[in-house]
Amino acid sequence: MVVFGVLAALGVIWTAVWVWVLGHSGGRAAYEELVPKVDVIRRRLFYLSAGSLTLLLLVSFYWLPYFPMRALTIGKPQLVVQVIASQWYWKLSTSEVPAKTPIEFVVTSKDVNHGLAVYSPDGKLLTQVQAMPGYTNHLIYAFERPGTYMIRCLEYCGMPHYVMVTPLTVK
Amino acid sequence: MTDIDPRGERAAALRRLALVYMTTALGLFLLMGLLGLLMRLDQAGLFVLPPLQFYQVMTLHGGGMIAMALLGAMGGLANALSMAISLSPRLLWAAYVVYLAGVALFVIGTLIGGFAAGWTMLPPLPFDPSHEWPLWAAVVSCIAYLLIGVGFLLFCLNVLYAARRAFGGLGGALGWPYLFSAGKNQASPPPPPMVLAATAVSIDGVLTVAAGALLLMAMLAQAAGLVGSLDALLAKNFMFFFGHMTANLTIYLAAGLVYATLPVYVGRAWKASWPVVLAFNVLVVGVILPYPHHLYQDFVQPLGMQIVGQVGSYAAGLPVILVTVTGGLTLIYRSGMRWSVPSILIAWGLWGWVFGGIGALLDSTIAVNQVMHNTLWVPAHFHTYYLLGAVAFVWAYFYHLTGELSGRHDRFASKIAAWMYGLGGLGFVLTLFLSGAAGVPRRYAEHLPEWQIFAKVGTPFVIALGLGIGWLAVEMFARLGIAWRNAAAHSA
Repeated sequence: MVVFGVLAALGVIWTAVWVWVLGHSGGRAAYEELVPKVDVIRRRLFYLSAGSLTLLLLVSFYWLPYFPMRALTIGKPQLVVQVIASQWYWKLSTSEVPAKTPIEFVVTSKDVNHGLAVYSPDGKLLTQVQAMPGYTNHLIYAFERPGTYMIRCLEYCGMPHYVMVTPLTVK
Repeated sequence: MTDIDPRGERAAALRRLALVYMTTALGLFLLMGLLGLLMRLDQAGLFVLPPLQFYQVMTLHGGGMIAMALLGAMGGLANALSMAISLSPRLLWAAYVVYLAGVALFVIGTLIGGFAAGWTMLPPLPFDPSHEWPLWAAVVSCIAYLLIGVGFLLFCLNVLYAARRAFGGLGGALGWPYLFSAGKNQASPPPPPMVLAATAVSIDGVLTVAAGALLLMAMLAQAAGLVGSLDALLAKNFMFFFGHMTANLTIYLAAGLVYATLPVYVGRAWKASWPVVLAFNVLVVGVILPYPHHLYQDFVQPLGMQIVGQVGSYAAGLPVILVTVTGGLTLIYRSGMRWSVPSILIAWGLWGWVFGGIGALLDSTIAVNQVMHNTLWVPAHFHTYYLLGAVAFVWAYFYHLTGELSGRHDRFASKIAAWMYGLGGLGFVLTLFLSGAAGVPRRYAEHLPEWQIFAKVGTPFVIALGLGIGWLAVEMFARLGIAWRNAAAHSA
């Protein structure tokens, strides 16, 4: 919901600008006089956007989900869970894992592309990785609290895709 | 440029061609929209669509809507461009026939054959032995995509040939003499913005179709048993290069229509300034870079490609949005704009393009995509800049064109319908964004009870949107006969 908050905040600012311009569509101003002023605004907007995006880019690298970065931010894996996705079920080497322990999910698929997504007991999407035929992806994650988590498929894999779900108990 | 004559036969043929392209697009939009409504009703728990039918409908809705938007944008721009470059109506009619054959085959593959691999058709799903559709349906659907690609390719080649001829080479069509003189070379003024947009899109369109054709041929070869299984990662890269680029290029093609329409309603000329020329040149490379953002969760993809996806996504949209949106708003500000259906739809289009762009930009951040990928956030952002962006621009131009050619103008109710289209779309996409933020997966034939509230709230907005475009469609269709007859004599 934080991301939605950012979208809403930027959306409100943009909508305010949009409404203001539409509200001032009447009357007549000399277009030739407007253009240089807008050029200045546009240049400033460009610097502001480019600067903000560069900052966002660099800061966001901290949360990269890839193996070496997660091994640094979450910790080196203490437990390995083998995951094989098939149409239309999950096969996990264990269905119970400890809380507060970095776990490495080693994920592959026997048939088509699937998506391993971990949902918290209250239905929040926590992390995900693709399960691909012919490839193995490594995902590190540490569960904060014990409970029954759900693994759902997030890559469309055929008709029963939406029921490809299995519980994972965190103790 | 002696063959550019707005009263000539070629211009008349292009006007009629635009009417046919855009009428077909609008008809497809209404049908595909109904399918979309069925899916949303199903997800709201208000209607039962069996899972197999849901996925057939989902596949047709996705592929059909992209094909529809591209067709409408191509048709509109073909006519708008006739003021500046000389396109071949014969070649564009051939493109239409090939394109429509592709669309028809896709309908057959999905509705009759039961093909339901999703519009992205990620290998190996289309030919997987455990699927529910026959092999012929998958083959027909692949051929359908190939034909649609060939239709688009013919349009692109036609634009590139004509632009090259009119402006002394592709560099001229991209405004290089003006660009590289920092705008001081007044002897070589830049081409009109819609020529810049069409040229930039057509260069990338050729690359897109080439990548798509290569993959589709490989898939067909696999179906024929000529090759073994395709590499899943490589196939994904090719499919998203093809699919993402086609969807993205449609938006820029439709943006070209804004340059052709908005000036009429604000009474101001929209010339290509230096930033505009620069932006469309950056677009040629910029639009290629973001596609890897579809593969962020494929951890085996080289890290460099993932970073390129994020940097490219940030960089790609910015220049054109900055110049087109700020340019559009400047054109509107204190212009005494005539509030009419086209100007209302363009205003919505500018709003949706930016708002959808913000949603896309957030999701193109790898860290955010970790918890947004394949949730309803993804359809939220592309519905925003399609429904309330590119497609709104296409309907704006179509309404404008049929109005000019028929001499019939909008009424108070028409303007209400245009506002309804925008407000309905706004409510609909907001519920999709909220669903995505709550982690609701996309492409689920049934939603958990706690997820259904989003679709329930969104459904009345979809109906409002449908009523709005339905009303406008009736008006546009009613004008077609007289518009067709007047197309020969008019100079619009």
